[in-house]
Amino acid sequence: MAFRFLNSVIAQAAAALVPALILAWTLEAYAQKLRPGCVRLHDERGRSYVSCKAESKAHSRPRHAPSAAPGATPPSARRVAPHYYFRRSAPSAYRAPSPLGRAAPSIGRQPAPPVGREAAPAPAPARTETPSPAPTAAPSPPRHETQVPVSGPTTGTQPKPGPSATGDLRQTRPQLRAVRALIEPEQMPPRDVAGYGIVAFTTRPLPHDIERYKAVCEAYKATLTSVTELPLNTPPSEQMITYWPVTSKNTPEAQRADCAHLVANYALRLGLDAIQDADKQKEGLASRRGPFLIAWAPSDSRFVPDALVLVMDLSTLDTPRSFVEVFQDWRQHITDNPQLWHRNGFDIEAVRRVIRDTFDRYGDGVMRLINKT
Amino acid sequence: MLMKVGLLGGLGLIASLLALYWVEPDTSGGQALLAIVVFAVVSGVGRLIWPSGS
Repeated sequence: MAFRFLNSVIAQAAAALVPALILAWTLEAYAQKLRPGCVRLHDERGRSYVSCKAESKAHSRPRHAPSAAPGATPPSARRVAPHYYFRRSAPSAYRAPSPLGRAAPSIGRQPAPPVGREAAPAPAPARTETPSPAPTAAPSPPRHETQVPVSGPTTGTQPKPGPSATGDLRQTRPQLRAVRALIEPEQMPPRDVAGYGIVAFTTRPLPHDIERYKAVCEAYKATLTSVTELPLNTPPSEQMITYWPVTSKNTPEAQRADCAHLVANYALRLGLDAIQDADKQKEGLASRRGPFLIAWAPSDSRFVPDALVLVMDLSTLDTPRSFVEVFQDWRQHITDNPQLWHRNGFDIEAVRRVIRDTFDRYGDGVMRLINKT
Repeated sequence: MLMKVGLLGGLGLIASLLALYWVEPDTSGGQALLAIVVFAVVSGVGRLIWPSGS
């Protein structure tokens, strides 16, 4: 019987179909295929093009001077793969406030109680979870000037880094610390941190989704230390905070970071706004399953047209282990130089995760079906 | 014939084990399905490359 099976048409059909499946998985997990030193940018109309810098380091150029012709998209420019990519963002609900004469919001005026602990009276500025209210004229630290190669012709030309107000490209970059914290809608956007990320769900949890949402939350807690665990003298400019939006973070459950509470009280508006800001290419990210991990560095680059944003799409993942692996990957990437946020080439780990979760999702059902027949 | 079947079966088994080692499915159903699929692929490809009668 085994001989018959081996000789059967089914084996031959599987040989033809499964490579197609593997190709589909590969395409699903495929990140940007860009040569080293190249990044994907978007012009004012949202069309993407690739900008590459020369072997020598980029030098200061005006940040907001788009010089590439929108039609200069090379034939090899690809649509960004959904799983993990690096893109330009557009501002949406949150506009960069004027540095002068703006009525200061409550952000940062009252240091929020730390996550997982009792509320501390007036913690030191280095420990606060909330940003200071007033943005500075030059909000970006020098190290972040390198993160914005503004438009240029597609190949062989140097990108245009951000405005020189941020300083010398070759200044030493202090070590960034990836931490987590809760944030309420009134406290968005944070200021003065090196950069921030957000766990962005596209919907509130439905009954069949709750376990998956909790798995994301547990992975988030397991891989990122709380901002309150940092040394007291850690300046905000060295913190890369990944925020979990909640409607209220002053409850006992939020203090101890209870995932059931965090999931049930997720501030959906912040997540959707972040997704909208990151979806410059109009790929319809908000219509996907999610969640997304989205980050901007520096923190106010979210409001800058043509800014860099790091996005990870967790839509295809289901298992807790996959979420932990992605968050570990996330933790590494958000502390990297933002110029390194773009993915160069094929991500075999993403393919492996997608294959694993696909087989886990369908394996039990298919085996039960086979056993019944 | 027997040698061909044995060779394809052995290759399929090795490929299945390698796939299980690399992908590491969490569920037993996922492991079983992956093993079957890989085994079928390798066997099918082997049948295409090495058709019967040769």
